[in-house]
Amino acid sequence: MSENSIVTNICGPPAEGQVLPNIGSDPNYVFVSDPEFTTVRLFDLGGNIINVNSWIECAHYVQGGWSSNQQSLVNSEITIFYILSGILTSYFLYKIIKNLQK
Amino acid sequence: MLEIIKSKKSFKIFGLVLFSLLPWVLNLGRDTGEFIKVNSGNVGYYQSNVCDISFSKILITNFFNNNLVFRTTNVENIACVGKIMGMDNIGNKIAIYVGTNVIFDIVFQSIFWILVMSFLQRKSSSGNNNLIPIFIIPFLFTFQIIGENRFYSSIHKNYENNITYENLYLLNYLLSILIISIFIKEFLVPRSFNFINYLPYVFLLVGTFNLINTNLYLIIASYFGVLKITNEKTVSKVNLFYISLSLLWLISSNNQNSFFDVDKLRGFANSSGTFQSRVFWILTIFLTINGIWYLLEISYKSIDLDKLKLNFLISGCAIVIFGFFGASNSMMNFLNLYYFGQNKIGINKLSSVAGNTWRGFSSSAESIGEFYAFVILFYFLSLIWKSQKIKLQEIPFLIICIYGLLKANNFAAIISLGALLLIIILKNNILLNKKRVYLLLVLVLFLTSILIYFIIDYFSYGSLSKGLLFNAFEYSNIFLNTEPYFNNLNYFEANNLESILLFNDQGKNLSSSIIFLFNIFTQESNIKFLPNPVAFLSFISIIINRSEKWGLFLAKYDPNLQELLFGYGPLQFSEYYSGHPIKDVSGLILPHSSFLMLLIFTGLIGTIAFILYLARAFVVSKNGDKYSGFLLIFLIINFLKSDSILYISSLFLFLLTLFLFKNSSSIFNNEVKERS
Repeated sequence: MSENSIVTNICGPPAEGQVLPNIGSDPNYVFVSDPEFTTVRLFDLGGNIINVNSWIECAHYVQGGWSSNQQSLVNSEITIFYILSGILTSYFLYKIIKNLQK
Repeated sequence: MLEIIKSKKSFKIFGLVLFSLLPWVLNLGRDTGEFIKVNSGNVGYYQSNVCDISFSKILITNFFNNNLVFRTTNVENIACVGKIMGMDNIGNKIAIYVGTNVIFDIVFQSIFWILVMSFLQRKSSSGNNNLIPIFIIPFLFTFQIIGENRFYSSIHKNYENNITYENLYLLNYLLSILIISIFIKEFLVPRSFNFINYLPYVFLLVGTFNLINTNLYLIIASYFGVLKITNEKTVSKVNLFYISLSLLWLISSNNQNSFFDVDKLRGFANSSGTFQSRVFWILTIFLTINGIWYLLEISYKSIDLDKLKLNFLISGCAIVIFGFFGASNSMMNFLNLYYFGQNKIGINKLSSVAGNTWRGFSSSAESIGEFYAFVILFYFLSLIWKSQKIKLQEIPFLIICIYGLLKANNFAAIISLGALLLIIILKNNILLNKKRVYLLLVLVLFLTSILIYFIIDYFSYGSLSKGLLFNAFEYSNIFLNTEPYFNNLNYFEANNLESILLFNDQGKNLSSSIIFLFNIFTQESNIKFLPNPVAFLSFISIIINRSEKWGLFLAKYDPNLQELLFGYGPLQFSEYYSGHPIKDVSGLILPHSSFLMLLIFTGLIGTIAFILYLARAFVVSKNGDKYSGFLLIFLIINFLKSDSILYISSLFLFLLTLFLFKNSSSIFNNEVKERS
């Protein structure tokens, strides 16, 4: 799939006459929110999320490797699972010890 | 002993501080980008450095910057919790997206709220050792995630609803709700005897979790609901009736994976039409109502009317004060949303009713107006109950609550409060013998007749009797793509309603409820001297300013016979909203009557049963306290024209009022005995 078709697929077709300016990684470039554009949520390989509010912003990020599909994320779910399990295990251990002390 | 109590309190205060800060400081020391001043020129920098800078830095440095608006966004990567996940120039404001994680939010918010509640006095409870709710509640609320898949997949991109050990997403939900259940058992069950006196705070601490469609009070009430059901040996008639209806709802369920945007109803509405989501909401509402009732039953012996009155006043004032903070400061507005669990971010204007009212503490102007009017009514009734006079120190609280009522813009609540207070004053100060009661009735009837005469003279009988149907026709898909001459107004003015249906065969585009009312309205066998029921309903709807809203309801409400009789199920909106096409109406437009909502949810059978239940309560409670009925009458009158039943805080208030009324003889007699 060509880069343009990926952009169209994720961000939709550009408005008539709309082209992607050469933004590069210019930190001073400010994307202007387009009220007509339905917010698209994009993900990068690190699991980061960004909500883009204009076609230009969306196209820029998609060309930079961001995608609407969440692939090979930094999987925090397992970490959250360990944290929650840890809290619960501590609670049950505390209860067992308390009962043994009675 | 004192030291132990002190150390427990310190532990709780430490926990409160910790869990209030954790959402923003979890990754504080792990910034990978430099924090620079937030202004419209630097928005690009923050757009390029997503998940690099802590929100807490903005929180500290921009606390008084009102050009910022804050929104939370769910992050899968916990390294992004509390980080800035994007920024946008929107108009003359800068929108900042703050990373939060729904599982962490469930844990942080619920622990924070439960710790706040844990400052209530503790007492051992008989239900303390019952572990059944701890096993049931987590599975029940995880089932919601499975059922409402379209809502949850919009928050969580990696959403999966298959029940496997590998599905950590679901497993984490289960564990987080398990943690809440344990907290309820440890901190709330021993304090449940004291619950009734602190119920007014459900209006301040709204309890809706960030981003998801669940409310803490649903979990707490369901927990106690399970306790009640497992403790009872027999099934009550009300529960049996509900179970019968539930079976009908589930049998007729068409399992549509539809999506209803819950918007301001978040936390207390089904966003889907799937079978699983119906099962969840049917069970949860069953347990919630049982749970609230159980909490009232086990705590009513501890009722302290002075304390309850004071808590109503404090809660009302706190809503005004925090509402003002939120309206005047963007950061406070955002923090109110998170810490009080608001359904929707509060408005940032001080003007009345511009969006969701009272700065986010209530999604509905009607609901919060009713609350303030209720607080004032309760205050004056408690003066009568306790034979007290207004205390000087209570006056500021009262003034703030009156201000809250006025700013809620709920005229029905103000007028009904005024009328009831007048009756109470008359009842309390004038010895009403039979003769005087009849005289008063004749006077009221006379004044009402004069009022009706002037109203009919002003509006004309034609527009009063047809206003409701006219509005219903206006919202229906008729006269589409026709010459401008062909419109409802011309046909209504010519009193030629039948022709509207025949025109291009457009009668088939009307809902079954419009056709039903239309047939009653146009029937030729009207009884002399009695108004046509539809004309009468239309008259009422115009007087109370509900003609348009009820017209819209009629245009949409298109039930078949079974749905008309038994409804769609509790908090089930999908069929009503997406079932029958009408002209485009933006936003979430509700019928603005709790009784119409009840009709949608439980059908004619459920609504009539509910009315009969209330009527029976009035008949049975003849010998109870003569004033407590005013509170219930006040709510019933207001529910006629408000959607308050859709808000969990109003449901709590209604059940408290009903409970007080049903048990008024024992509650208020005890109070009188204590006094003497």
